[in-house]
Amino acid sequence: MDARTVRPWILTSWTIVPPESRDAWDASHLESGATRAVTGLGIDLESVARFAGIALGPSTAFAKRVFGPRERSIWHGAASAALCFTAKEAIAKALGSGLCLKHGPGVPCQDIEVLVDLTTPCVTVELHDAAAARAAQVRARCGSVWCWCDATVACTVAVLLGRTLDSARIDSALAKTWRVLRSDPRVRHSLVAHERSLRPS
Amino acid sequence: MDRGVFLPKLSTALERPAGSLTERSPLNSDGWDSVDLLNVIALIDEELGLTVSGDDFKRCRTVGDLLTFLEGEQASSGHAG
Repeated sequence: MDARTVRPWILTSWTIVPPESRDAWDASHLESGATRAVTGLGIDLESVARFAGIALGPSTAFAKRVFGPRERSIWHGAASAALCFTAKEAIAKALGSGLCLKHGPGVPCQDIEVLVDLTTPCVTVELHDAAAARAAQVRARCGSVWCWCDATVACTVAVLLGRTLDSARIDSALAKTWRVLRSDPRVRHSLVAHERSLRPS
Repeated sequence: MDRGVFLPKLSTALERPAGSLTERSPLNSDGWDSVDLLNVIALIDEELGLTVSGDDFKRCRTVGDLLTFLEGEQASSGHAG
């Protein structure tokens, strides 16, 4: 599927704390008074054309170290790769850590697993090892990502939450982030053009 | 490590025009974005078998400094390059 036909936003939420651990998690965090609604917020924006060269070009050095085999197995072109990277980066920013390959500072790229299927379209997120440990450290219980791409730009907004929120509060946090993102001239042109194409004629 | 071989690969990784990157070029790693940094670290791992961190780059002012640092790392780890 061509990236231009993808719906404007793919919204995915995932749970960091396993269901069987929730009661213990709630007890410890509520007792400490440390439970906060939004524990982290991250944004990333990348050029799709850039990823055509570095992720899908002749050298596999970047692709095979930054992306795991499961992630690469479902790509459909550079838009998938760029969107996958923006999700990793946005989540790493929300974790307050940044990305690295093996040794920090930051969490290893492959510890934030993002499966981007542009045919559905659907994004699935799983945190492993250092990323999961970092999420526990910042007391993030669940997360949401908004992913968007067209043929030129991919971007993701990630929100990590310390407790389950109603959808209105999640929308509010994402809407605030969205206003900041739209003010970036690099994305404004692309987004306005995309929104025009969505309007009923 | 053959500097003459590695330098063009570094240029490609940083999406610079061929021949525009010399040993005297400022590394300016603070101006790199995360993709630049990960791309170069991946290149070094692939080509030289060395694992370096983002902090290692901050100690190098020029491309030549980076190459010297990498040669030192190769020597201390026993890599011939």
